[in-house]
Amino acid sequence: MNGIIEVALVSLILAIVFFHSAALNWLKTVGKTQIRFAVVILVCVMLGQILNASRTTFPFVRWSMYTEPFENEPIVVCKFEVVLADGSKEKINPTRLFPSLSRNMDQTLGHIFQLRAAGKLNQQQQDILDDLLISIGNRYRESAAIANRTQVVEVHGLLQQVVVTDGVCSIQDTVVAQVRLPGTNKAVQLSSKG
Amino acid sequence: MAMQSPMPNLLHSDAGPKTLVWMVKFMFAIWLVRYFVDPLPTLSELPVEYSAPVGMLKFVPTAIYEGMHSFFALGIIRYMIVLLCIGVWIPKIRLKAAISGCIMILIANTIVRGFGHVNHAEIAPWLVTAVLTFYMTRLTRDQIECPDNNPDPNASTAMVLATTVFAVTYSLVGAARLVNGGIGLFAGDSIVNSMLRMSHHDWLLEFNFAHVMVASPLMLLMLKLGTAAVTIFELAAPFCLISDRFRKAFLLFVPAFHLGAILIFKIDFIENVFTMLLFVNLTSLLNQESKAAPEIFPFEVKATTA
Repeated sequence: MNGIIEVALVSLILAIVFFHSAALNWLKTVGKTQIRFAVVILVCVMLGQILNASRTTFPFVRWSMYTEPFENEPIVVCKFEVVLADGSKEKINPTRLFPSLSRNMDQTLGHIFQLRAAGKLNQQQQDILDDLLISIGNRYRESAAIANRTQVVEVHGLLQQVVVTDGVCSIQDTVVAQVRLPGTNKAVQLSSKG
Repeated sequence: MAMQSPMPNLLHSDAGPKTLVWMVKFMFAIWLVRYFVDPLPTLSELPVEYSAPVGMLKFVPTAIYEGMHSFFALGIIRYMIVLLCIGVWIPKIRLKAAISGCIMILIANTIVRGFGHVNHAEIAPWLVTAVLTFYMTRLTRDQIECPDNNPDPNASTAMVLATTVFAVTYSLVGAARLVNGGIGLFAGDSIVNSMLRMSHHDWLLEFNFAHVMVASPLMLLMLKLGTAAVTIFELAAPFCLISDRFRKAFLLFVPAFHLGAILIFKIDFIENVFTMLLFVNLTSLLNQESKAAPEIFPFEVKATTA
């Protein structure tokens, strides 16, 4: 229902624009064929908004950013860290490892990590999540190999809670998923060669 | 004396093939840079089970879908896009390169979106590219290869529609915010919490200005007022087509908002910022350029101006 109201509002604005004398004069100079395609495209864009099924109607998607109030919920994001052979931990940035995804990965994974923390993932979903963590770990190991830091043995998925007290931010990490990387020994050998 | 346009008020109403072809080349230049630096094949290292088909890929058999996620296939897609984007700058193959490029960019975007939520950052520029390319197919070969700037209904419809579609995407974002969230989005701490959450997501560059913002009540007030103002600008974006004043204000305010969104929220809409060139009267600029530097005497003109 909200989608219809949004489209009605935007259509009203478009009507004001295209019933302006300048637009009406221009419309007289263009043919019906040109206009027909224009109408089809605009209808598709509007339908994408109303249907609210962006994954199906892509590239005609629902356009919405920051539409829900975010007042009393905890501020939680997902993070990743690796455990090195000496037991030390390092935070890793998946966006740098897979730049094509930009922020997509951690926005989606934030939800999946919360499900994992609540024990709501089935075995198959957990396996996929483990495979994903291994991929991230392998990619990190591959990119870190240049800097001769290949002794990554474990990858952790974290939920990071941000708390603000009197204008000062503090963060608290909780490990919700962890997986040991296969081929760890090989990585250690590579490192010792360097 | 220059011919006066009979309808000077509607943006792009006097556009000719030169404006259309120039804009098509510009859009593909954006995609060229994007896919030249974007290591698309690295996605093959992620488990394909983690991605879910989006759009037209929902109708592709699983084996083909998985094959499209291989290092080889993603590499082909990436370098095909790069070559096709370059092809758009070559007059003889411009149209074919533009059509194929549009399809390949859509495929690449569809694959990427399978790995997460359907991001909007590249969709509006893609829609603009597709609209411009469609209308370019309706031009004659001469108009595509050696475009002049005599007003043309196909070229002007292309530019007006591309600008309308681009403006409508902003307008729908503004409408969705007002209809769903209402005034509550700007009054309480909602935007502050949202900023904190967004700024803690990982991004290509590692910085966090949100911590500085939180410590300053004045900056938080500016954030709330700025968000409300930008929502009004977004909703009213189609007025850029008929109002010079609004268009100038939009071009000052909205790119600044996008820059702020990068710094504070770590949300980048870089392609969108460049696509805002649609809100500039390109035909007028290109005509001025033609008058200032006639193509037949480029060296003479340079010597005179120096």
